[in-house]
Amino acid sequence: MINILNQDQQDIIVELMNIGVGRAASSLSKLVYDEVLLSVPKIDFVDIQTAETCFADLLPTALAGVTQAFDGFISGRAALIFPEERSLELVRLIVGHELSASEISELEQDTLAELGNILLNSCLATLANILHREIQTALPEAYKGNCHNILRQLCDRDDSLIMLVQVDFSLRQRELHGYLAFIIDLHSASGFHDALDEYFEKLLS
Amino acid sequence: MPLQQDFKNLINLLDTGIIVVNAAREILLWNPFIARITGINESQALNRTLEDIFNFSIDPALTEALQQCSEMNLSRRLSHQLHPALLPLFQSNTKEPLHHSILVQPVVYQQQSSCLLQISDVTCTVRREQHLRAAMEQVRHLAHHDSLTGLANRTLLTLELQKQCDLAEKNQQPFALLFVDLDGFKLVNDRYGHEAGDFVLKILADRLKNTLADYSKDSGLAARLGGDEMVVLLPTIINSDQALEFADYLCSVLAKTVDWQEQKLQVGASIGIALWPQQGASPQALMKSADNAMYLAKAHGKGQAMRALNT
Repeated sequence: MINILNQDQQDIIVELMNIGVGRAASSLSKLVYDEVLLSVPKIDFVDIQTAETCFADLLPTALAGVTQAFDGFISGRAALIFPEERSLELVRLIVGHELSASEISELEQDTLAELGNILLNSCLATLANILHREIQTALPEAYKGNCHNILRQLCDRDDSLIMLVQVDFSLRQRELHGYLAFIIDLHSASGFHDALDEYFEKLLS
Repeated sequence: MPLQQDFKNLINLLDTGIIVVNAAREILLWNPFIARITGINESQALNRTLEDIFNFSIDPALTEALQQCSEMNLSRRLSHQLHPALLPLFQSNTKEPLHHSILVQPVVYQQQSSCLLQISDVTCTVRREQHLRAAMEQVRHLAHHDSLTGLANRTLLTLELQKQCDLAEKNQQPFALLFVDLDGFKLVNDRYGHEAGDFVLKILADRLKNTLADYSKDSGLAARLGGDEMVVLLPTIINSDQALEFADYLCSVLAKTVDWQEQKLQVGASIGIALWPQQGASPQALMKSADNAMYLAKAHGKGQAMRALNT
């Protein structure tokens, strides 16, 4: 599955993700009137089986975050993933409330969904815009799960391409680590392939 | 097979505001829920722009979301916490703001690329959470403060004292701890009752707090340990003479009479002073030194301050 994308194509995607994440950081910074830095230290392209192992290694058991579907030149689901007890930390940092992690808030779940929405929209839209393609995104949903069932939740087929993007959030002198996962339906992977090739050729000419 | 009118009826029954706008932001659909909230019915709303209806006071975040929706087909969730006033909406009966969140999605409506807005009333949730936060704030305060006098309690004092010791160690900056014991308090209680006693405590605690605030520019801590024992943490002193000067002044302030039900009650204070690090380098050691010094002051005739002996 991973062989669908060659090294050059993977490199382009990494570039585009960085741009997308950077744009999201600037939107978030404006939202909170404070500097939000987002960096992408690592991107992995894996299949489901490898992803499950990856998740189990990298992430603690209880996870929470935001997921949204996308459709267009590529289709699938995208997710922002945090260790469960830290998922609301991002919200608290942004909104500025000093409540402990165990104090639950309905409004904050909504805010978390929006933050995930901003980030995922930015990455997907950047990917589409730069590759001159169309994409559309659906509304975000908050979710909770563990590293075993989360992929099952996000992925209803066994043959998807998964991009696992590590994201580091830095704001108000605090740091948070999360992941973005893009589960791309394979029937759209060839469209992805073509778009990347076109872009690559344009770069070379 | 449902008729078109069936769907329209459902939209009319929804307990959420539904607005559909085209790329030019002209209203294509305006449901009864949103008509009720704004006082503008559908016939008045149709074909006007969103900006026009809402008097150009739409939050730029919503405008941006609508733009991204029509130009790039992106769905957006706009939460209340991040955007407290997306649209100027008010409760119909009280004129208070109607707290809301908005979902924006691309849709084809009447064969035009349009945006669907779903407006949810989150007022109840917002109010409930405000109450919860206020209650939590109260609980937090009570956990660290004495309910009668409002001074810090032993728990908070211990925390702050440890912090102060650590800071003093790091910066090699001395500070003082004062043990304040009221003289003749038991007499007041016995003679005039607990109500009088409590009143005296409250007044003297206020005096203590204010004297400390004036002296240390809000950087000290006044605590009540229990009964008629209070403690003062003085982070801004440089030497023991300064501490004694403050303590003497505090004695005179606390010795002034307290007016209660046409009586003039008088208690005084015996104060023990301990200095970091000479008279204790740890919270426990300092507390002990100050306590001993306070007993010394009592033994020497009360109504005065005494410094602890060096350890």
